[in-house]
Amino acid sequence: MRSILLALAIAGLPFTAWAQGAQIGWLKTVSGTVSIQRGGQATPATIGMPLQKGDVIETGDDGSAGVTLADNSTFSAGPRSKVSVDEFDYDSSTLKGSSLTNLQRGTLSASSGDIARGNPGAMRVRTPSAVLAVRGTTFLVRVEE
Amino acid sequence: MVGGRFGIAIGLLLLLAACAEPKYRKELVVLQPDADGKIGSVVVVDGANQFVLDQSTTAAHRNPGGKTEAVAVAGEDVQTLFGGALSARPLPPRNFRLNFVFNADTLTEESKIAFEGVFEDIRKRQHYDVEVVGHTDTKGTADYNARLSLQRAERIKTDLIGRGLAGDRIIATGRGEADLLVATPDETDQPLNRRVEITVR
Repeated sequence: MRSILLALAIAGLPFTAWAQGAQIGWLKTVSGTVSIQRGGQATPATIGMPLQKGDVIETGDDGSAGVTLADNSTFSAGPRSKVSVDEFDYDSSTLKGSSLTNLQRGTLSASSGDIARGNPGAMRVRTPSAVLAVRGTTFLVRVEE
Repeated sequence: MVGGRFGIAIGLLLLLAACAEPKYRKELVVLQPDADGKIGSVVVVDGANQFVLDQSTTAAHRNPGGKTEAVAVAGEDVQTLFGGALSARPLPPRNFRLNFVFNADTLTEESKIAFEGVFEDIRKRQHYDVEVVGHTDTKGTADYNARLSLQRAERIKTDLIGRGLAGDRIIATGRGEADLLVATPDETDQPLNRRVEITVR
């Protein structure tokens, strides 16, 4: 009993760290001017940067960036965009959870992952005037200022 | 005089063009086919109103405070409006399923060859991270299999690091006999259940 608990504890550790800790995904593509705002600080974005819940990705006139999240969903933003993942709960053993991506302005290309597969509608994208409940899988969103 | 009239006509045309409704409203949603050509579904929710997008209606637009309505979006407009976002899409995550020899952390001969596909895939990516989840069949106790599955995942992680991958970008976990690929009773030897699922992304 003790060893199974230990095994489960070891097995669960990295994922628990991912789920509770800050990191929810990675920046996989970055081109042109892109910044990440976290706690009021803006940092130039680079490929491989870990993404945290609430980080705001802002792209310039020539900028674009792409992210892969822990549930294997992906999204990317075109120029003059402002986007953040405001909610992200994901259990990698049940492959279930919920997420809310917030597109304040600009363009978004998104493909759903385990969260939408496990529970259609659990992946959501918010625009200034509506919420998109995603059943699957690939879609584009534009918010013009 | 004629030239003046012509000028006024041009001016009127320009004015009309400026007053014309833009083709798309401020918020626009467009469904795209998946890698396998299928079109999914997105529901636009605005308070109590819901507008369903699926293969029969693939795009909708709205103004803040306005109604969601279907709209036809030409292919060239998709490129004009979304070209930047589309070109920044990360490569989709890819899954590799590798099988093991009974009661061991060694890959089957077939899976040793398939393992090479992982490296080919990683080379195509600007940035990679890898998730390895180990599994067993139901032979043996759940306790034993929890450890064996983790050992299988850790063995793959060690092999990946040995081939030059960064350890902090690889997560290895074991699910024991909790997640069978082929449902079997307990104490059943099932080669397809002795596996790791590797996701490269």
